[in-house]
Amino acid sequence: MIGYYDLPPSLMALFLTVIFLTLCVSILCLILEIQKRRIRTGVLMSFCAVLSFSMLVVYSSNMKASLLQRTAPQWVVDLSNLPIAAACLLLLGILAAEAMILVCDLRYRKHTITHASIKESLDHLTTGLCFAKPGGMVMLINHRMNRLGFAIAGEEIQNAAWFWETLQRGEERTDARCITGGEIPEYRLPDGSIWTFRRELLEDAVQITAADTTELHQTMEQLREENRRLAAMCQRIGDYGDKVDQYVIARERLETRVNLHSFLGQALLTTRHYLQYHSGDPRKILAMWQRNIDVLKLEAEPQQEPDSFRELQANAEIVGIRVTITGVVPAEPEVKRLLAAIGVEAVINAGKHAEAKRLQIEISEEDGRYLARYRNDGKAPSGPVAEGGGLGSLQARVERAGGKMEIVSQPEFVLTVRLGKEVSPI
Amino acid sequence: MTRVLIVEDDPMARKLMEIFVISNSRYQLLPSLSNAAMAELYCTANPVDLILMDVVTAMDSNGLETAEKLKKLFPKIKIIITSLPEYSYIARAREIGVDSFWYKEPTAEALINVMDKTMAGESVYPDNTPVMRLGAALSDDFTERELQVLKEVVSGKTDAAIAETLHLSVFTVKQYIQKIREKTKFSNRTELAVRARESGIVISDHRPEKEGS
Repeated sequence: MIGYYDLPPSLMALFLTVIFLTLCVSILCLILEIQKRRIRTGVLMSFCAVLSFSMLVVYSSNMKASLLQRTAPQWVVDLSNLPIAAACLLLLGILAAEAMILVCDLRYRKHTITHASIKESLDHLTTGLCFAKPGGMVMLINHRMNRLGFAIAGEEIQNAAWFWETLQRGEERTDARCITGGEIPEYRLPDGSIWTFRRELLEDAVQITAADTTELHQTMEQLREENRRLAAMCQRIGDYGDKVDQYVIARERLETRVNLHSFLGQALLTTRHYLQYHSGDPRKILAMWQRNIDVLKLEAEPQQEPDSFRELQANAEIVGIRVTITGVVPAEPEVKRLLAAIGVEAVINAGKHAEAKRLQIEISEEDGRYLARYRNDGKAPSGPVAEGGGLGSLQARVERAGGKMEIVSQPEFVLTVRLGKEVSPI
Repeated sequence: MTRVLIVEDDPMARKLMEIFVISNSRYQLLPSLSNAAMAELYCTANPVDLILMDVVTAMDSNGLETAEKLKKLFPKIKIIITSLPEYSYIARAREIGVDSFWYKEPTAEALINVMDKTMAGESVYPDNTPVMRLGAALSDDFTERELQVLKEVVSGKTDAAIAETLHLSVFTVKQYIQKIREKTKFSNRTELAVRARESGIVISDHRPEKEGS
């Protein structure tokens, strides 16, 4: 078998040099890695120590065998008979150890968070992300946010504060179009995608995020369209319902009239019976005829169109308060109804608390809205008027209708209502 | 003589009741009102023994609400609620202590009979609400909550508005509407609302009178 020492000196020297250099570089790299990661790798350190010791043995034996044989100490192992295969095995062992270290390192990189891995994972996010100092200096930004910055501001984001202000102002420096600015800016990019930006203040940094809300916008638009359709349908149902109610009322009145006509027949029969047989109470028959005549007169009377203001005045007159309405009479039925309903409450308050005899309602138009003032001639309230009870519910009703109601109690009680011309039925 | 105040916004029904009351010598007719809320003020200033009170009155006043106030302020005044058949009115009238309840009929005898009994201290209520048909269902098939939801649907409110009015979630409102549709076999909400309105099973509290100019 060819021994190690059977090799020519130049090959032996080359062999040793390669092993030595490999070991040195490996150990150096390991030490550097261990220090950088600041982790405890006892196994690796032990392995390095064993390799170093092995190298020392080989090297010293070589020295003993060739150069310092006579002066070498006794403890130095004599490897003069070491077969070349053993040397090769040693080399293979070192290479295997290095391969194992490499695998360990890869596994470590895969399972351990590092600066690079953070950046890499952020770059893979579908949302844009940027962390910056409060002054605007960018600390960490991913590819998506950089691309968005370029698409919206026309350049990469160097200063996060400046970029956020650009978004808030809704500036359009490129083909990207601002949908809304402000605290939650939204932009539509030339490719049709919509991005929504948010800013969050962290402890010592600012986080800006950008989310693709294209699908959400489409869904919201569909939902808005559905709601518009539903509102229109509900409005039609309401309108149709009013017509049905009017129809039902008309039908009931017709049925009433038909029944009343049958009373007329009954009165005729009863009268005939009385005249023929002189049986029955003539006063009852007379009352019956009186009723019939009254009903016939009622039918003959012209039917007036319902009118809220007229109803208000008629009812108020009965409870002893004269209501005068001056100025503009609203043409819109719902406005008129609401003003009349407020009038009812004003009449009740005037009668109960102010002992008033008159209520004045002045209606005018200001900037396309109605302004109605309710005043009475009674005692002024002794203090501020509480807006609870009837007035409170009226106030809520006026506000639901998009209007405003104010009450002034000094020097006289004045209730002011502002209403738009379009008031939904309440 | 019993002093009678009529609160009724339908001119035809009001006049008819006035004729019925006048025709009986035991009753004295007071000026009639079309708005329920003003009855309180009238009773404060004038002696009244009996009130015939409609439920839905002019200028959006609710007769049942006014009756509740009047019963507290003037417990001696007798009140008869006059109404079209509606599921919720009888229960509400009993709850607030109304003396009697009369489904509007065009006969003097029926009304005078209820008035006489009420003044004699008797409480007269219909035995039950007339059963009405809505699609494949009868009015008895619905729960009270379902009828409340139906009443709001009929008034043309959206699910969100109904939820707010009845203090329910929108999801619950949708479930109720779905149940009602299953019972009635109506294919959609519009048909349900229209048919319910036509049937009179529920009456909207919003009086749909056309305003004259």
